[in-house]
Amino acid sequence: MRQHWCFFFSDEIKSAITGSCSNCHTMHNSQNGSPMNFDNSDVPNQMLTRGNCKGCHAMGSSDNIDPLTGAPQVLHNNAVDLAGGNFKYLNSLGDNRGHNVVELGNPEGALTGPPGHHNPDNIGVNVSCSGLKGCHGTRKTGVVFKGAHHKNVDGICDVADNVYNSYRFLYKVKGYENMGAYKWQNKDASNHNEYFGANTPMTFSGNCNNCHSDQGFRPYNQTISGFCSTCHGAFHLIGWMDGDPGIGDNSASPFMRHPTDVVLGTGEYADYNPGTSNQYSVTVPVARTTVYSGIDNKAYPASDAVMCLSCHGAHATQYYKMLRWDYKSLTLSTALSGCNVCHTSKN
Amino acid sequence: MIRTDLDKKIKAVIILFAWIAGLILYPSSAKSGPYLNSAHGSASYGVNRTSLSSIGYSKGHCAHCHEQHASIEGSEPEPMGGIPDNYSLFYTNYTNQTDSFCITCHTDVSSYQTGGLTNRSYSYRAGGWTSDTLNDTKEAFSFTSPGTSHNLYDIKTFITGRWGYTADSNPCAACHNPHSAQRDPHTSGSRGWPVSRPGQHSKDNNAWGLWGDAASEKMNNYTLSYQAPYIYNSTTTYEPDGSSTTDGSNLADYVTFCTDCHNNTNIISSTLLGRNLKTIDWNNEKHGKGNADESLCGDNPYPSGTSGLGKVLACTDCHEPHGSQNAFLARQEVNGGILGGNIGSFSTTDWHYICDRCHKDDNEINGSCQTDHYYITHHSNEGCNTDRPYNPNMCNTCHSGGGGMANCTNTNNKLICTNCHYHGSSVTNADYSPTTRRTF
Repeated sequence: MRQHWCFFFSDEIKSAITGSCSNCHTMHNSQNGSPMNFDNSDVPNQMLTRGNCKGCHAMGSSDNIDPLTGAPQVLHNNAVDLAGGNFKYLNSLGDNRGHNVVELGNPEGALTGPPGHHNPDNIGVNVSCSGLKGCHGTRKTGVVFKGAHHKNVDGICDVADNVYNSYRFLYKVKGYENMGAYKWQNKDASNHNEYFGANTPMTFSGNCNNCHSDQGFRPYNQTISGFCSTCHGAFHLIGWMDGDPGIGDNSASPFMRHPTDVVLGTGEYADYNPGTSNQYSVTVPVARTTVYSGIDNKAYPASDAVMCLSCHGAHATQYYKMLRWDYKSLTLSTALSGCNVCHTSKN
Repeated sequence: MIRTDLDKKIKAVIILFAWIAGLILYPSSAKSGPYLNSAHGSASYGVNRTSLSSIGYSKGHCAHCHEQHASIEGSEPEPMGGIPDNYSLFYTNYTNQTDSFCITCHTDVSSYQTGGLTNRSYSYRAGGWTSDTLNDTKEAFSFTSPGTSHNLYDIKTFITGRWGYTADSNPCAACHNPHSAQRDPHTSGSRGWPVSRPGQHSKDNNAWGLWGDAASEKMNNYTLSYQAPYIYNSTTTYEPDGSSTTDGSNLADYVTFCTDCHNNTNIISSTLLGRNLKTIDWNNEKHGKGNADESLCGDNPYPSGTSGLGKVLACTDCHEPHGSQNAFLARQEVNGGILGGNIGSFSTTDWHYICDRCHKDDNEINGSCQTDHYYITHHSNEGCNTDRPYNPNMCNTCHSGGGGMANCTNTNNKLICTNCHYHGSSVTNADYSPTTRRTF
């Protein structure tokens, strides 16, 4: 049963936002002389919200979902991380655990730019939550999120022609957002997001429009891996620039870099997640080459694709290079455990 | 009845204890697959590229060879030349005989792995000739005339388009599955199996298994007539592990392995020779499953007379797999001893150096005769020899300057063994008539 308490935003809010307006908004950022911002700052925010990205989504409390607003937390101290990981690991374990998002106050200390990006690099090293150098929202200057939360399309995002109906507000990315009992989490085979992939990566061939558009940066192929490639292009595209081959000159093995948006296929890959009859692994998830409308607890090696998020967390993980498993473990079998989910005969 | 139950309980406890002990002693073996059991994937002595080990990657880690993004820590260590190669390798897969991805580590000089890698010759490892100074794979593939090495360009040319190999394949992968190949200490009770048959090649590591690790893949499965040669300086222990085993049950069936390529039908071009290689029909050649005609004069452990007939050799009894100081990869140590000299080419009398290791020369048969000569074998029925092909008075037919009745002290020039005796030779191939029998 949806509740519609807000009166300010009329029609645009009726399908997505529930709860009292004051949960998220404040008229004056002042109540009985105290600020209403979640972080207690006295600086008001755009859209009269009680916080900016960090203020609402990185409260640093013990809740992985804020009980008042329902906002998923990307930096928290709960034992259970959400699907994108937890930015806290950057602070506790080092820069190589995740994306150094500038709003979180822990600037990148090792890199000089996004690995795999082209020159000249006008992104810089410290990405932001949203905007021109960010991931979420329209990826250009100016207003990038207006209305998205209120119009948010949950669950299946198969249109993805705007921020609000794109997967996790990743502009133009398709997918299915976990709406189950463990919303926001990749908990297990039956509770996880369904990522959208393709059976061939994007090809560069001098085509800047793979990423660049008048509406801001976006992946032309609308996959999650294509999205990552808007910053890490050499790691995804067939052919690249500056003399770099990208992943190689076609979508068939051998690849020069580990491919994404390539179907797992036959041979050892047919035994994905050995011993489970191809149960979907949330340690090494695969992307679907069609947009799913629900969660499937199985993987289908003949049609599912490897993606960036098969190995990496989106935000930050507790492991080296924001991998989903301890790739740098001193115990070799542990270090390779994630690799072996797909490379089943290399165990 | 009570005693029987007690025995069963004791037996059960023993089995349980042994099982638990096994788990303690070999904790990973229970779930290890072919890679973790391989030389490259060993957690204790596997691949360990210095630039990665220095930042904490474990031994045996995939990343020592495969850089997933050709970038670690944003820049270095980046692939040579700044760009990756096929299979996400950090170095060009294959350039030439001594410059390839594998060689970057398998060398003792400037290896990408601290300390380099020591890889000995087959004569050292299986033959027990520990004085051989050759100590790395690059060195083995570096032999040039008079030495020879397995020509990687020719291998690459030959395998491309066969058995799933492509133009991108590394020629080393013709014989070795890099994700399965094991270290072989060549010690009885401690063996590994380094090769995989090219004819069984598959990108699926489970499908392309090791060759020699199963009972059905041993030399004694190829033939019941295998006789292992002596190990160096011994007359009681044998190749390849210094044990008393002689039937090939401890040796990979290298005949089946090698004849995937070197058989009687494949045409293999040799860049070095400027011609195609001779074909090999091991099912019929005399050193293979074909018999000697009537008798032979063999050095131990190959018996003389008729009892030595029918013995079958393995390719590695005479040839090095990677390279040697001799022509045609002939081993420098054969059947327990060192060759008397180097063999420099196909057409040289030097071949007697290797023949001598198993075939008695005149002096060994008759102490009044010359060493390194085979007059008796060819011309005289005496001692162990009963099937001379030529009469003693036929010297001039073959030996220039000869004439009349000869004997084993005759000074006529020795002939070149390989004029008649070589892989694939037959009656009609011999330069000398009347040759009436198979010559190899």
